[in-house]
Amino acid sequence: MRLTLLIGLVCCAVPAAAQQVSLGAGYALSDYREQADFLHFRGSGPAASLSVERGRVALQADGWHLSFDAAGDAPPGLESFTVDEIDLRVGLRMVSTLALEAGYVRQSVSPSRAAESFSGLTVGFRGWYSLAPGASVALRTSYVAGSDFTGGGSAPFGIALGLSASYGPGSGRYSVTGDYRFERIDRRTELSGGRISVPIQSSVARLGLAVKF
Amino acid sequence: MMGYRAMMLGAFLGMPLAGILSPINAQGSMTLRRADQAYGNLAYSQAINLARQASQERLSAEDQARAYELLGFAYASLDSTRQATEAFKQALLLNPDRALDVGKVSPKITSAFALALAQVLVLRDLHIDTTDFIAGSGSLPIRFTVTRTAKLRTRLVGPNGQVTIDSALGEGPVRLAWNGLLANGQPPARGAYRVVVEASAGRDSYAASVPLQIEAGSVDTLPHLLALPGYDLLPETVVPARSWKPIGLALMATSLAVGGSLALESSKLGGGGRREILAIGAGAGLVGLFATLKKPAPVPAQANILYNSLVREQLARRNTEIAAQNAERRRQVKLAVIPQPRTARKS
Repeated sequence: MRLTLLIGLVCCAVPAAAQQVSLGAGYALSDYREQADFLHFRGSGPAASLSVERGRVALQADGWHLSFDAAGDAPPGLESFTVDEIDLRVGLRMVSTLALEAGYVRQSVSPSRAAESFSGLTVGFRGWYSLAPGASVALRTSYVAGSDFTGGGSAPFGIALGLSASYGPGSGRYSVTGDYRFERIDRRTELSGGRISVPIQSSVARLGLAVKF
Repeated sequence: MMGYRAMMLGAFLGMPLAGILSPINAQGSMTLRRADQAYGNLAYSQAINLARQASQERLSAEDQARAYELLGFAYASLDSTRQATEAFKQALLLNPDRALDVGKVSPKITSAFALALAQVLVLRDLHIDTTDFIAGSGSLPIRFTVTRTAKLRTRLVGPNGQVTIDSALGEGPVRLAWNGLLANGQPPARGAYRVVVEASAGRDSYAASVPLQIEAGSVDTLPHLLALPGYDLLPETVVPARSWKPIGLALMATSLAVGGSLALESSKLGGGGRREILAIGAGAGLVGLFATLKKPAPVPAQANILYNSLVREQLARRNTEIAAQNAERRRQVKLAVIPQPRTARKS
């Protein structure tokens, strides 16, 4: 619901004229690890994306709803949970194939005791290359800063890495898309007067279809 | 001796004249025919009498001119230059375009004829060609020869107005041009017109005219150009040669993503998931392969684009000029001038 609202807000915020809008939907697979190797979950669920590009500015919104279960190597008794995540980024194209991106990422876990919910700001770069009409590949990396965790603590270091590829017939109005995102957040929290490391690491692969307007 | 000289002279004059005078045989006046026969028989006195007699008869202008010419020939043969000149003058007044073939008549006759030409005031060889031209911008050439220095006045007269084409002193060959406009500045309407040339010198005057049929019509407009002749437009895009660059870039991006993920994995978490990067990495590789196999997209050919823009600019400029010319042409009148058989008169 919140994701739909945000996407709607994004659509309304940018005037329709002289802009290119791309809407995508798909299915995501994810791997989630937290604190130690035994807290290992795998999940999947629907995903959606929206991209609005106008001039040198591009706005990208990705969201998914994933249901996680303990992976096969995890100890029994781990509770399943769902994750709603929204990833908003605004990019400013600096050269023809490279843009500076700043964004906001929010991950909500339900039930909240099962995993860590957090939000943070991101800043990084996105580079892309058009391989052929309707085919492109992109790489993205960003630093995740100012993370805020529901369970407390802070993350002095967080990084996200992405790979995207799309292919469509003709000029690529309709295309098959694939996106990969790896994220690692080195969360630290205090326990018994000392700081302990409770890292969070996730990877998401999303396969879908996109249409450009 | 005298008889021999007369015979030689007669042979000299008569032999060539036989060819010239042959058309006389076809003429209707018996007196003129007898005069011609007498001249051919070297009976110059008889020829003079008969020619004088013929000139008094009711003959056509051409026959009358011929009678005077025969008279001039006979007088010249008898060395009576003054009478010969007077006879030739009469012949010229009747037919100013008459000329002698200097290769076929004796120098005596030629000199007497030339003397007559210098003394008489006539307009010779008044000539106007059939011409199409645009009134106001083209011109109708008018040519004639005046035998003496005279004040010449050339006019075009017709049912819808007149105009003085030229008024000046002239001698010898004269070339004039009419710009196609009447005195009121307008082109003439369709109809029968006449170019009248009047020459006056002292008490002598002469006038000749040429009737013209003038047709007035619209001027053809120019078609707009779709292309400049000799300057074809070039293709503005070119298809580059197929290359392995797309798959190379896709594999490089995949390698960076895989390498980065592996490098960033936390050892405390026991590595990371592989299926996600493997799935998307394989997809990216496939995208690269498809892009490599796909027909390359045409890319702009900047030199051709620049060339085409220059050609189009020139084409637009030329069409603008044509449009301006057509606007002017729609206001213009094209005249077709067709000369009719002309007449001459003396006064």
